[in-house]
Amino acid sequence: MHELTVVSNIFKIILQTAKNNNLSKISKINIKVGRQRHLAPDLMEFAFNSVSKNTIAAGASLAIERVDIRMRCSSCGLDFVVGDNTYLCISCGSPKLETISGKDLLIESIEGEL
Amino acid sequence: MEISIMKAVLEENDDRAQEITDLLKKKQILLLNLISSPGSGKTTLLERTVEHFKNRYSIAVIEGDITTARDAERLEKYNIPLVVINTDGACHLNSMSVKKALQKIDLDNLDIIFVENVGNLVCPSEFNIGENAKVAILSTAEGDDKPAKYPLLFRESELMILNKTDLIPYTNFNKKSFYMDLEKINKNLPVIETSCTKNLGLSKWFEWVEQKTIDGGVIK
Repeated sequence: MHELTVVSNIFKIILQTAKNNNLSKISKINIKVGRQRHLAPDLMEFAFNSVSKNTIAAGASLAIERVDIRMRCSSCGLDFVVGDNTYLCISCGSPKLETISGKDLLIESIEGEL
Repeated sequence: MEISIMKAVLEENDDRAQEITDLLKKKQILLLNLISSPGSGKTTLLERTVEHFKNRYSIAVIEGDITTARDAERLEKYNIPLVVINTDGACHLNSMSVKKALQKIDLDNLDIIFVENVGNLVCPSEFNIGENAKVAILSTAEGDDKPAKYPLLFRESELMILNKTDLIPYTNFNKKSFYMDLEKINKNLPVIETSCTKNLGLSKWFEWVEQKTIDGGVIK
């Protein structure tokens, strides 16, 4: 249940951003979560509803965009999406891969009112 | 109105982790982050390891434990610096708590710090603590399907220890399917098979730690 730690961090960052921009209400939070991360979106929403209660972010929606696990093969250079937990190049079978995406955990933006 | 942020959620954790890495590099100390389920044998592995290296390296241990100090009590007999981090329910250690724990240890006369993370295959793998390497430990009684079910840890680790191999005859652990899964998830991950209670396979682990001290620049 490290979703709570993650969501607490998100909450801290968005509150600071709202304060810096004089927002009176936060209505939406846009975040990116890579598929390699063991994070359950419904647990994140549950945790967010708990921490945001009675704040300017109460009732805001958490828009979670899942990012595919994408690798580049160091042997043949192919860029591909990892499926079925198989970290082997789909063309040449090499296990020497460089991560392009999939471990993302990023707050892109917030939407709100002044 | 929309306000762009573009900030990593775990930035604070990653920043503190980088500070730990920089500090320990300067002090020439190796930090190994041991991650496994509860009951895989992490503490027994540490007992054997401290015993083996006690005349060779100065070792400290940081114990992540939800509420007790029981793991640390088992290591008290070795008279080494020991710090317990009680996470009060949290399922993982983070770099902020490890940084605080490091302040309680004399870093000027130390070679290796082992961090025994909170017993959990999921959460600890998400949080860097400034380690030189993560080591995944799995015991055979947990089942051969764990790498397939919790791939992140087995992607992030530099070594895997398969412990309690002496128990295989009493479990349905299938070595063939275990290695087949692991080959898909992380073909480059070295696996050392051990039984810490029967003292089997440990010499390969000791060699790995020694090599890591060389790679990590722990030459005083």
